[in-house]
Amino acid sequence: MKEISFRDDILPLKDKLFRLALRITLNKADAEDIVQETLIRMWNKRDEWSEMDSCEAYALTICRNLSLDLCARAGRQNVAIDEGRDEAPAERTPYEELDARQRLEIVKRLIDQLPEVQRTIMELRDVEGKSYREIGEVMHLSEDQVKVYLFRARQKVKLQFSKIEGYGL
Amino acid sequence: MDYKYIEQLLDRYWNCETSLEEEHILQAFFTQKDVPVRLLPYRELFIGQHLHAEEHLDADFDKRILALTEDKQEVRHENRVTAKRITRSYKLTPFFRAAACVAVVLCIGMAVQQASLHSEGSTEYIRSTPQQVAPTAIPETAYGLPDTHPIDSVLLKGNDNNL
Repeated sequence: MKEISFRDDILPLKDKLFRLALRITLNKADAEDIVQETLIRMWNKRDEWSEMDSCEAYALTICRNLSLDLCARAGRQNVAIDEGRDEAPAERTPYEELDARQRLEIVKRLIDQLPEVQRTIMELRDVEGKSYREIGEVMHLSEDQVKVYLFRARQKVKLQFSKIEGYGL
Repeated sequence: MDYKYIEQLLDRYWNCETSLEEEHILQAFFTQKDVPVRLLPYRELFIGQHLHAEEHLDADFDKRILALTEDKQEVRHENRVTAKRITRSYKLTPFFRAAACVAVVLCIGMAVQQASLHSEGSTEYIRSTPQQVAPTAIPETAYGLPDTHPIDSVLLKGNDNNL
């Protein structure tokens, strides 16, 4: 059995953890702190790595719980503010940049309005490309439950899209 | 171009009937430039997800985390245990030292013994000189002394007085 290395196997999860924490907390600084805390907790559990079914699922679960704790402490709801989004690639024209920002804002608004469970499942499925089983491991849900939550999330997003299309944005 | 396949995939996507591979196809389709107008509204969803997937932490983050985890432990290990390759000659050093000590003690012992033997030899020589001289001296004395009072004559004189 391959020996798990912190540097090679755990630390590379940082970006996935960051995106998940960012999706839940909606704040980059908080998300970064949560990733740091998650990785330190993983490090402290290094004696148990070999017994874990999936270190990645375990780390994502810690990250999600820490994010939820932070939101609960701060009394934060689904407020969609992300100050880091002002950074845009230099090769875009101002028109494209504006267009990209608008697209981003619409999608962010739609997804951020979803309940946390649906939002997290959508993040893990559509952004991280996780299977239903893997998502279930992270969220402590059955595959069917994951599928139900994802179905509700996508249906809400679709409904919102059709509304936007109807209003002509 | 026929986009029926994409539309079908999209319908199945909303109903959570697509596989991960089919969702990748949708992602790839909507992140390209040429998207038909009727599908354009949904493009925002996939582009948004694609942009979100590019979110990442900087390289300094790794250094900070490693300083708090692995590097910290390495420093502790350095303080606790120092790995060192031990050669055969290094292992035998105590025996070499012991042998050297024994050799020094033996040398000193031999030197002392030699010195004492040497000094005893000269004493014997000094002692033996008179013994060696005596046999020759006695005759010299016996024969060298003036024969003024011969023993026989003294004895004879004494005998005469007793008589």
